Amino acid sequence: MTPVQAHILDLLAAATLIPLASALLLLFAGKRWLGRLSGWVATLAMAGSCGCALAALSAWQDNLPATIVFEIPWIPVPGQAAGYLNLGMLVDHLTVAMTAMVTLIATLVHLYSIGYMQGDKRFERFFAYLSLFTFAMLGIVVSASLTQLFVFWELVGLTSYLLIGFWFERPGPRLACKKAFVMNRIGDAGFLAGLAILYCKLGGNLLLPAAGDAQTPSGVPIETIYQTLTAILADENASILSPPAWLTFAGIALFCGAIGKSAQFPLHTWLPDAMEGPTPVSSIVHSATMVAAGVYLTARLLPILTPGVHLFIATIGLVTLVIGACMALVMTDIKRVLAYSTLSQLGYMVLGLGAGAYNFALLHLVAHAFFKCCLFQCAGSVIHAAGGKQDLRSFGGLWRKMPATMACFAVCTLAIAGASVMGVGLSGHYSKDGLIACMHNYGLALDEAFNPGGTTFPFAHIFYWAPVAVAYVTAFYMARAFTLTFLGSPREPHLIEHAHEAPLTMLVPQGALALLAVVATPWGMAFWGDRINASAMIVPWVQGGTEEQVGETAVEFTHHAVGFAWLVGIAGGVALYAAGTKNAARLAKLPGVRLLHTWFLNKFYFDGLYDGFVVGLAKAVAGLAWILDRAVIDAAVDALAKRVREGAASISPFDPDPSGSPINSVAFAAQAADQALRPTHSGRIRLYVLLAFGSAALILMAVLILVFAARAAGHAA
Amino acid sequence: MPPLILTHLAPHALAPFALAQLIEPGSFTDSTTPSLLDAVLPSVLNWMLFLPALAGAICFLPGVSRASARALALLTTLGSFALSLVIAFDYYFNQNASGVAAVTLKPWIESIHANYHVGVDGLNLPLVLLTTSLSVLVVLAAWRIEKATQAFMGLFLFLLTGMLGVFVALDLFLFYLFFEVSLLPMYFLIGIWGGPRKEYAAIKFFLYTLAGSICLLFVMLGLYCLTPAGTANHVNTWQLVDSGEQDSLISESVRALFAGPSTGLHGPTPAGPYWLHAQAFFLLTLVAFLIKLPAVPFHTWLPDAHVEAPTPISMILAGVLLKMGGYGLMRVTYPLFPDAARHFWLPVATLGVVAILYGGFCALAQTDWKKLVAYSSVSHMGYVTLGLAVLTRTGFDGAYFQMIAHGITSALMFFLVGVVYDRAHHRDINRLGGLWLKFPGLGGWSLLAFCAGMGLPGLCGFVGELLVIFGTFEANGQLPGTIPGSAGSGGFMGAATILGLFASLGVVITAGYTLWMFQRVFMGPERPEAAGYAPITAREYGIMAALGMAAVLFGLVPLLVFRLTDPTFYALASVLGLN
Amino acid sequence: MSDLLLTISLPHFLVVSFLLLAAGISTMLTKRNAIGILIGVELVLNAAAINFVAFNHYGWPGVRAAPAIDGQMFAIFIIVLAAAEASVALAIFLNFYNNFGSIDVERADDLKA
Repeated sequence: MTPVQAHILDLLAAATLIPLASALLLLFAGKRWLGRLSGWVATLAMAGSCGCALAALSAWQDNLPATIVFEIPWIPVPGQAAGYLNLGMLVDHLTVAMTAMVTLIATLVHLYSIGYMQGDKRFERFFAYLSLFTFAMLGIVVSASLTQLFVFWELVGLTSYLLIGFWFERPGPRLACKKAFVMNRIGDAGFLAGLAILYCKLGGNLLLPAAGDAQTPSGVPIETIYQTLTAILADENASILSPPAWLTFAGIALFCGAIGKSAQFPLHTWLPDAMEGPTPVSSIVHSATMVAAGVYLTARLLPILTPGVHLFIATIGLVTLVIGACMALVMTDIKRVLAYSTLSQLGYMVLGLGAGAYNFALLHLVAHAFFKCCLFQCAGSVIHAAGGKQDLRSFGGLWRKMPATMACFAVCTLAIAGASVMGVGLSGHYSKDGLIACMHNYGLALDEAFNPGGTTFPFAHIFYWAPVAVAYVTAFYMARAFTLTFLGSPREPHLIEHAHEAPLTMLVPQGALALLAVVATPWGMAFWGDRINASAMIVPWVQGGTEEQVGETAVEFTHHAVGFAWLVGIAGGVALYAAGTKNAARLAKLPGVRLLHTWFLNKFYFDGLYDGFVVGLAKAVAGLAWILDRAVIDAAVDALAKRVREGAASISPFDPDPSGSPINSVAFAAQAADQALRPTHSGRIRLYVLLAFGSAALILMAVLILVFAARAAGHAA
Repeated sequence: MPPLILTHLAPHALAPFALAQLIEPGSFTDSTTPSLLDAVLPSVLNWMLFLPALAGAICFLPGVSRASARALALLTTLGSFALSLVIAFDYYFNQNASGVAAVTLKPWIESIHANYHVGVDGLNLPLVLLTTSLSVLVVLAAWRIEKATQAFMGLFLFLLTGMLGVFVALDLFLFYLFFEVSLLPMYFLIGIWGGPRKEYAAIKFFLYTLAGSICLLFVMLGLYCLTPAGTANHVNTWQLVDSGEQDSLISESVRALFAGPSTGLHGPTPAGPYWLHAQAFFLLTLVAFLIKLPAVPFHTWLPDAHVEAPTPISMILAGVLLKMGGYGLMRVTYPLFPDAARHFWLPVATLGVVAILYGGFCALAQTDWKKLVAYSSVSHMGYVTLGLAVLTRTGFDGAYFQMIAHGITSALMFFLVGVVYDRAHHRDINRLGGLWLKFPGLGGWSLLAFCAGMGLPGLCGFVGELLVIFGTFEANGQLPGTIPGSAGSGGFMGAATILGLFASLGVVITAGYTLWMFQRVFMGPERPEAAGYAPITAREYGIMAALGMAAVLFGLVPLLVFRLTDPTFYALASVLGLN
Repeated sequence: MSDLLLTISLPHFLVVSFLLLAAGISTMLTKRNAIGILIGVELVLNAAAINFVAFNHYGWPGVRAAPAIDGQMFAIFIIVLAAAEASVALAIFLNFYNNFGSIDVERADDLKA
């Protein structure tokens, strides 16, 4: 245990807890005491948290072992030797880097929100939710165990629900937030099942695998899930390359959680709808939090996932990558273009993780976080300036009014397209090209695995041709969005007339993010470079790593395939859309294109499928269950009750039929006697006395007569 | 230099719970001499038990005004709560064994060996605390009841004695008596203070539960007849706990008679003489308690009873009365007939999973808000059935915690429905909306409540569900009748795994109906008729806050419950042969 | 005859009590005044008391060491009972008077069927 590790643990704990404190403060005291100051309080708190995280990052030294504190007992699990599910913290290079990225972006988004949410009536609550959201994401990043991660995982889901549905008065947001949460829960059901399987097989603690060996703060080695798994597999005479079925199953189940959170096919439909939330929410959801959580989880679990799961992950990523890009091509809402672009970029990351390109996928996560956050903030500024209008077809010529925003947007467009000249480029260049190089290796390896002979197997080659193609498409649709928004002449002049540059609170974060988008990856590479070996050590069967490890051939391939993709795509986009949408509309009328266009525009009919079929099915099952409840179970109970009553009536003397019932005839007789004797009830005391004594005398006489008669008879006998 | 925040501050910050975290149970037991408190504990328990009934009788005296009836009820429930806290603290700090505490054992009906035998152990103490604490809130929730307030409070206090009696009774006969006693006040509370179809709902509730009681009575007769007269077995027939012996909770000699065949170390052991009877008795008591729980298909009394019952009664019905079913399973059915439980684990577990999914789907189909919450109770109690059926210690823990958690969240949910109903005078989800705008505080607490119901981690609903699902997966391959391995090594894809997968799917349905309801009721623009709604009073916010805080507290520190139950459950597990 | 007069025996008492009973009953039958009826009731009660004592004395006197006094006990009971009854009856009459302005029992026919 070195003081450095303790120091870093403290800093990260502080970085995580500060947003929680600020969120609670705003939630309970925001409206009453802080008012408009809330925004600044939250932003300053976030900045403090960011300071801690950056301090931790700078204190981090190469080759520090991963440190795990894990000693707060939470839930007892008597069935396992561990005894308790504990809570704790895990710190390794991934944690440090993710914390820094999340807090940095969160701070800028908070700052941006001060300007964007100005005048909203629930201003304070927005910042409370935003801080809570950040806290949840940080919780995921620092969690020591899978179970603990699940806690924050769900908290992210809940807070995203609150943020997306922030304007819940409107129909759009309240449907979108529900959709997001339900989609996430579907994934989480899988997560839960995977968690349960691992729990049963690996014992209760489920410490997340860290890079290399992990130890407690006092320097005692601690066994993570990876070491446990290796031991168990060794016992079973298996290995991660020839794994038992449960491991593959658990891996796929756990990845379902990531499918939900990172909006992968087929649970991706919530992400574009989440645009209904305020734009700062989009900018943070799409970059550093939420969608990043799924990627983070997959990256964390990568060492314990079997090759089958890897293939599954890569396939899911591939599908998402392609459909996201296709849909981004045709959307007319500026935020939706960016949303589908996020889908596609997430597809890159997940594909990369599936292929084992751990480092480049995470690099892309960080790079993407910065430029996509910036893009959304620019889009927000544009929407703000255009009075709420979001349609690309109405914009145009905004560069005159909003030069700074345009510049930021342009930089980020170049970054996402992966622009580079002579090997020096913006952030997207490094991460994406590295990814594609890894994909090349993966595709060839797959081909080899499925086809030992050497004949080609097209399915395997899709794994690198598709990302290559999407690299072109990405540049194209981003250029389209940029051109339609900023270039050309104003298509709706009245809209543009009132447009103005965003206030400083919005411009500053935009600029900062654009700057980060430029430098993030080179800086990240510098940070990352030395640790690649560490990750390669724990993921022995995956390719990837530095360019040296990727290999000459793959690098060569990448240079040739996508070296100028950015230029081609951007040039195409600008050329086609410089004069507005006319040319594109003409293009869309061509027979083959038209079919595709319709498909893309209708989002591959996923929404229709889900809303119509899945939701309809659920409703139908619910209706059936309800009918079963009423018409079968309850009807049976009621019928039984009725039958019992009838049966009882038919056999009992208490017959409701007044004639012929013995009990009733007794009652009738009593009634008749009552009628007969009624006159004697005169209310006159003297009559009563007479009756009483008279009858007593009569009875006495009768008794005497009887007695004497009996005696006389006795004598006679 | 150890990390400061994490290892030193965090545990403290995490804990008003410090009690549960830092102080080990039994840490104050220093000597063998019993303390003064130990000597008076039995009377404390008896006072806690009968104080409400006494006060209830006073409520019925002529000349008691509404205000004094309310005050009396509040004071009594507070007193009962305080007494139960005394017992709980003593149990926590002075007990380090599974044995029962605060025991009163007096002969009662000597001709059939029935005793007045009450006491607390880990199995009933948390439920007693839940009952006493919830009853305080219920009295507060019933504060504004104007129709025959004295009678309402009186009946409620009788009900409280009945419920507490069920939990603390350690004699089967006494248990049965209290089980019945709790029935009548409830019948009147629903039948007099209920909604439009109150008579139907009350009689349905009554008959359903009575049918269950008859099953129980039948088993009791059977037990009595089968244990040979004049022997120690006969004397022990009704005994649910062997007081004094720490490792054996249940009368061993009674249980041995009903044992099933087993394969022990020394070859197979034949079944006990009454193995077939044991199976029948198991099923009968199962039905008795599943009706109360309620489990599908015995659940249809619940939605009707809830819809018609007044708000406070719904709270106590969902919060405590349903728990009598689960508690009965844990105290009577499973410990008496563990071998039969093992024999029938699959159908019972299937019932649990069916309840989870079926209840969820039924809730999805509702437009009456209260009915939706009622069906969500059916769904949640399915986890209790499942957790018990799979016979793992994790599942047992989970089932128990689920009962406590559901007691908190469902009471809160029903209270929220009541608060809205008091203002809107209807519960149609489609005609409500925008309540979050009108009452931000109500929206916040509701969100908390329904999230807890959804089982979001960090709230109390999560722990039970998680442990039950874990326990279900754990059971795989450890129970008879598991489908042999159909997918790869270790028989992984067994019946338990499949049940576990379906149980995990429950979270999706729960999210579906909860979010749908929340969207309709709380989101959206404010409705015009909401302008006339009365503001929410401090009393109402107080109740919400108390329950909401409890939901958070038990979610973060479930150990508060488990520290109490652990020793008893450990002993119980060895009796039941849990995995 | 002289024997009959000189030696007081059971029949003497029975005759007295019979006379008292007859007087009581006829008083009750003839009087409309409630007080009169009460007096009739007292006479009937006293007749019964005399019978108790007389039958005890002549029928079951017991032995010297343990004389039987059951009849006497009953007589005392009757006296006490009579006192109680008189007080209750007088209270009723008082209320009766308050309600009807007289104590004529013929007026009290509210209970007539």
